[in-house]
Amino acid sequence: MSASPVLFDLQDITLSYQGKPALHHFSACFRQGEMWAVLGSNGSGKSTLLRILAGELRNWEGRFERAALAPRQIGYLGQTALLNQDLPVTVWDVVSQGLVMDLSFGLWPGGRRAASARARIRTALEAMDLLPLRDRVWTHLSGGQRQRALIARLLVQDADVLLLDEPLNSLDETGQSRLLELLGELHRAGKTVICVLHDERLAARHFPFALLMRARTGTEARA
Amino acid sequence: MSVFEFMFSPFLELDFMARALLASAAIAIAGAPVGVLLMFRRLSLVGDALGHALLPGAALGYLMWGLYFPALFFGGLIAGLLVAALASLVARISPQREESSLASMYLLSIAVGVVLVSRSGSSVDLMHLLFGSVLALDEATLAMVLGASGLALLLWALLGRLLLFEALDAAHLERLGYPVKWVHFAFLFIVVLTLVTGFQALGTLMALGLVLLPAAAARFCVDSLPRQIGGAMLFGGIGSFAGLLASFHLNWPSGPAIVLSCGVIYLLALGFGPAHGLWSRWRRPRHPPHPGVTIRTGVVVTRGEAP
Repeated sequence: MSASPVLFDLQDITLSYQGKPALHHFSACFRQGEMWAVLGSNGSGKSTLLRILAGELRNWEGRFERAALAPRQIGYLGQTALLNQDLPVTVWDVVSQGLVMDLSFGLWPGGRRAASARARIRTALEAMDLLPLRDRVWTHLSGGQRQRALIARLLVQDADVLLLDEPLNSLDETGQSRLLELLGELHRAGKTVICVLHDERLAARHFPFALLMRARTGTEARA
Repeated sequence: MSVFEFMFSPFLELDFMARALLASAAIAIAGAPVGVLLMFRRLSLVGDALGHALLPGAALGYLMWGLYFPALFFGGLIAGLLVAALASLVARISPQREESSLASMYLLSIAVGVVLVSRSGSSVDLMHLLFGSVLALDEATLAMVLGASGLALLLWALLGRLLLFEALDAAHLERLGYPVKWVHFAFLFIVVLTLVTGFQALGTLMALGLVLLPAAAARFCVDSLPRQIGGAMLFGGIGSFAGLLASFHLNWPSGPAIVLSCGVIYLLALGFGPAHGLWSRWRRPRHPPHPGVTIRTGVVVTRGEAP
């Protein structure tokens, strides 16, 4: 396992919001192909950590080395996706945003690459059990259905590194176990998965590694 | 006079009426996607304010070349782009939000514009700039309006999906590595292009009338985005036709007559639109009856089963 290259190496990272540290002298190392559960109480800096890894936050102090990754090789699912809540686009449209580089930028159907992109969108919709809802207007969906659509958008992107911030939120039990199985499959296919969640039993059952975070100090633990 | 003559002979017999109808229909069709997206991005008023910002550019063109439309067109285009760029620059380098910096910019530019025109023109000229003169379009101007509308539609065809995704979730687009700033600027460019063509017909004060009102009306009638855009095109076309007809027969000023017709369509849709109109909302039963199932304190009891 230790042979695989290091993706993210954080040494003594501190990041503060308005003078209050959210991450405090935190060190951790994530390697390619690993599958991590990130656990910890509210305010322990889990989301901050994920946003640093995703490249969303840059005002940290300390040493952070990140393997050279193209932007679309990192799939990030935030806790609050800032989607326009009014725009009456369909579920298919939302999911296809993850693949806009393969579809055309305009309104024409696109070439062969677009055809395979559409097939991938279909597969992702199927995996998230959204195929019957594909033409429904996104704004009419329930919270859990929206979350599934956002996960499907992440899946079609086919990123090598998946950073998920509480993806189990607002999913029912079937949805949760289905997503966890799916993440396991992706892990076995060689993807790196780093996922924030709250349920320790699920973490122990589905994740080879767990990172337990405490407020003020970061603690690394391997299960 | 037959109904046919009443409705169509002005457009068939008078060239200036035909040109006016063609120009306003083109504005409505090319502007429909802009209107719908502005509405859903909650930028309707911002777009409208940007329309007022065209005035000083158009006024400068007017000062140099008189009431010559190409000069007004390019003057307005440059002023609009400048104000849009300045407003987003101020929003970027200062704590002021884009919408309030735009308000300051457009007030400034409308004041400059009115001063410029009144120093050397008549009040009739000022009225032309403020309220438009679609009946006075010559062939060259019509060609420019059609060309600009065509360009706007072409840009939608080429970039429509990116523009839609930028409206939906710009942060995600940025994470995928797209130059979101440029996509946004392309959107602003299309907005200004629509404004400049709208300005030819409706003046700076109501430049977006033919764009925003039909889009708002379509929202009450259909649900999906493509249908709303199509509906806005249709409503804008009908509004142009009815407005010009009213202007011809009742001797109303053409720009306000067109906006008024679109306004009537909007009010009708607000009242009776099949998707979200007030009437359909009021008439719809609150609880659709469901046979055989009663819910009692959380226990679902099916008919025939002992409770």
